[in-house]
Amino acid sequence: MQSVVILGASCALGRALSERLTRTGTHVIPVDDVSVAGEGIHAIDVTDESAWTALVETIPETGPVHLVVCAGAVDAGGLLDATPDVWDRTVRRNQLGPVVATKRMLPALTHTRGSRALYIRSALGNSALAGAPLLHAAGGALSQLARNVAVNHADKGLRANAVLVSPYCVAFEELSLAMPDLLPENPPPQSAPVGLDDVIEVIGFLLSPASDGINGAEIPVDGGYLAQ
Amino acid sequence: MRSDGDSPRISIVTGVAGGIGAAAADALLARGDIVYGGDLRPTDRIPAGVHYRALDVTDETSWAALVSAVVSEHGRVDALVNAAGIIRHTGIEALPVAEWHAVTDVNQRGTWLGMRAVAPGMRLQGSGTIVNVSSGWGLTVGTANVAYQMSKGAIISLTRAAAMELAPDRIRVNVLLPGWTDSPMTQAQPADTNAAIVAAVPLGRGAVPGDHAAAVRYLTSDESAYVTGAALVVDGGAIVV
Repeated sequence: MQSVVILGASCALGRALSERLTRTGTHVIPVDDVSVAGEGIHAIDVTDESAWTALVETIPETGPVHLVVCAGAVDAGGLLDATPDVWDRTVRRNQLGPVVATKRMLPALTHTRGSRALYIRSALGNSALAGAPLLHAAGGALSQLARNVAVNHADKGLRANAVLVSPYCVAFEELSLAMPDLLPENPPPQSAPVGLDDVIEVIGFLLSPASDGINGAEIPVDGGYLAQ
Repeated sequence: MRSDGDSPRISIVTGVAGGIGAAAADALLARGDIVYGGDLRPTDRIPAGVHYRALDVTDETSWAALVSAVVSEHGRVDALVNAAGIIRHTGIEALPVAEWHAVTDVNQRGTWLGMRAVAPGMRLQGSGTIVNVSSGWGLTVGTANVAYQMSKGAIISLTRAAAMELAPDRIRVNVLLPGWTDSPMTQAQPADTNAAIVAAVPLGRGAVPGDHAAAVRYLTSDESAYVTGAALVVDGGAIVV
């Protein structure tokens, strides 16, 4: 049986992914920061190395272990009115948390060939809109984290990729709630609607052995948003 | 919008004691800019003619003091070059959280605080250019260096967001992606590492800081008046390989 640790399990995508994987027999360990973790989710300080170490010890050694990061913490305000406090909160959840999770899970991720590290982020950052600069910044950082892990640990059978979700997909409620005016009311007509199921299907593929040749990639699930 | 024939540009360059920062300051001085250079401490690499000011790019009060001083003397800031940066060579498996903070704070947070410090004045004057210095390792990766590579990727995306946010005020924001460069940062690396990197550059040499200074000069000039949100790779073709 494979195990999947989902960091950011409180967001819409994290919850839906947890349910889907659990139904298919995967051992799911939903995790989120103590500041946002909902019921049934392991609430930890996601930047605390010892908390991750303790969590990793609970993972059964019965098959591949995967890490899926759903990074959608959103800063309040734009470039000029975000404060250093907002910066710290946003960066710790979107960037440092994923770093510490990856670091502490690395022994488990490289113990059995076929493990995956997936970093799910908004497509914002590859393209840009006014507002949410720290979310944009985290996007670039997470893709680089995926590439770094991919290049440096491929020889141990680990594959790491980034999935770029359409900003019109309600994967990360914080994005939708914090910036109701950020996105145009309707997606451009040439951009196909993207739902949570679309994203989960791609994640499912990337967690499967069939994706073994994909490593260090940015994979948009955006209905063509970035292609415009 | 000011033109190249107007009074001298008032420019701020961070990391002015470093290789790219010093070269950028030198190039802007040669153009006739009045250049303020910020760094933690002065060194003999800072070009003569630069108005040096102590600057901790991670500290918003330090930024406020620098920008306030420049504005009180000249009434404006026309250009900001965020060239301050540090590198650590640790891979993720051994990365101390404190080291991640140190790199991210200087490279990523420092870039944001710099833009945040100069943009209000640029908005009032209805013009301004900002050049953020990332790295080829903001789009690709090498071994280890995970905090550095993350921070440089963040700078690229942050630049795009800033460019969109500030475009209505005619403030341009672009990002420079230097490849391997002969500088104090790379001189601290093992010689065989540097030689291997340079050997793979299609143009057959590593960059010198002047290569990037020329790009900075362009991006802060009116010749690039229609360029914003762009990522300019200056690496001898290395990223294409």
